[in-house]
Amino acid sequence: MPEALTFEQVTAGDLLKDFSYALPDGSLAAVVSSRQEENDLKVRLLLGLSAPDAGSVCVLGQELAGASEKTLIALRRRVAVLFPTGGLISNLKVWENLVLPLEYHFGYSQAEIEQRGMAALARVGYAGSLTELPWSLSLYQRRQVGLARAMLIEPELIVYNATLDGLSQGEQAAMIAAAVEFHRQSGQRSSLFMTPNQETVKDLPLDRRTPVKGSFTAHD
Amino acid sequence: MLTAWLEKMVAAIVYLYDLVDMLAAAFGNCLAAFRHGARPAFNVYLRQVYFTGLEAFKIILITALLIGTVVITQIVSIAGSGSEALTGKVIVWIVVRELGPLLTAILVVARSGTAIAAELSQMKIGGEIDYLESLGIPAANYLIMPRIFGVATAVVVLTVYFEIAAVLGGFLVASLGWHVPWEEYSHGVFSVLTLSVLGASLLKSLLFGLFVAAICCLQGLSVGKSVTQIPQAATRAVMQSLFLLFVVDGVFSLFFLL
Repeated sequence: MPEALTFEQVTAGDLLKDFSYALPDGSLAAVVSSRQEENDLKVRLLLGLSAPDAGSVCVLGQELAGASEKTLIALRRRVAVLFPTGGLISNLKVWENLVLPLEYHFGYSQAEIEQRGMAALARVGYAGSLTELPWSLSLYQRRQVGLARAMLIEPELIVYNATLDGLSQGEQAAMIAAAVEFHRQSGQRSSLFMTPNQETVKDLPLDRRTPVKGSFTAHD
Repeated sequence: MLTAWLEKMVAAIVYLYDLVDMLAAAFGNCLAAFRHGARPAFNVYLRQVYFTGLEAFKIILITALLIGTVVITQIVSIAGSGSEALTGKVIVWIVVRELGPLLTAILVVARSGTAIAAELSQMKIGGEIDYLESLGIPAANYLIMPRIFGVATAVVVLTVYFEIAAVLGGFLVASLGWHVPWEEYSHGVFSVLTLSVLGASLLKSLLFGLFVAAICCLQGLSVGKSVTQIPQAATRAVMQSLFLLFVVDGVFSLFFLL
């Protein structure tokens, strides 16, 4: 089975030593790390924002070592990452944040952007203001907008970096429901949850769960 | 001693290279933006023109009127009455050729340069540059290029306003204080206000705007991970911008106005 993401014997700084992992195409999986910094580093590695000291990272069939900036930019358009803070830009309002990738990458009309943007917000259940700056939103709302933005670009691989951490149980359940529904919408889409806290992913209908450094028991 | 001096020279050359490289990349990205990401980049450009240009308009106007008053007062006190045409000429030489572009750029550095450096450094420390890159939006295209051209546009337009306000404000003071007639004053002004003088003034302000914006962006992006680096970046951006303004002004005067 082809893989959406592979880390092969990756060593990077003091955080990752000989880390290997493979995420099969179309699967919903979770990686539980020993600490959040490790997840942040893995995200930087899979986006090509940092290079490993040793080993190789391959995303959607593209080996990142030696890839040109142009290749990396094209690849990032096929991958969405939900950052722990929601990944919103602080000087853009909620709506501007939401539609930024649509306006940047796609030639949609304003009416179409508006329609797609509102539909994505409805899917994640966002009920806050569209004209506020991100600092005035709750953590959950920022992550909702981040997820809606990820949905808009229809990624082949979506990475949830500590997306469920720090949320109430109700918020976690709603976020999981939106993420799973989005995952199942396309049979080709791969979803990966990264967290330092295994409790947060216990309710996910995972295809695969990866223990790291023996801190978690594998269960398929 | 010599080694340290050489090291400083090399560092200065590398820094200048980085600046010119950033400006060259901005021009390259500007052309690329016509094919890709034009609308969001143009929004950032407009926002920068608004913050740097429109919001600074009032302070530029007041400063220009005061400078015009000071210059006219000095000329009249030196040349005495009956020097109406000379008064008009000198204000063009001083304001249009020198003070207009320079003071406008200094005000922009103080007002917007610090803001750009602080904003970009805060974005970098907060991981927002990575957020943009993760969306396949290069910071150079979306954050840097529109800011550089936005500041440059604002500096050129503000310089024009500054010069008009200083020349007219100077006349107002000369007319009220020393009863200088408009005909004499304007004759002096238009006898030296040639297209080449105007063009050189605008070209200088364009260069000032480009370099100031590039320095502030470069300093803003130079921070590491600590928030204490934000004020340091802003301070460095101001000091280096001011220093480079005087250097560019000196070089420009040597080559174009002598």
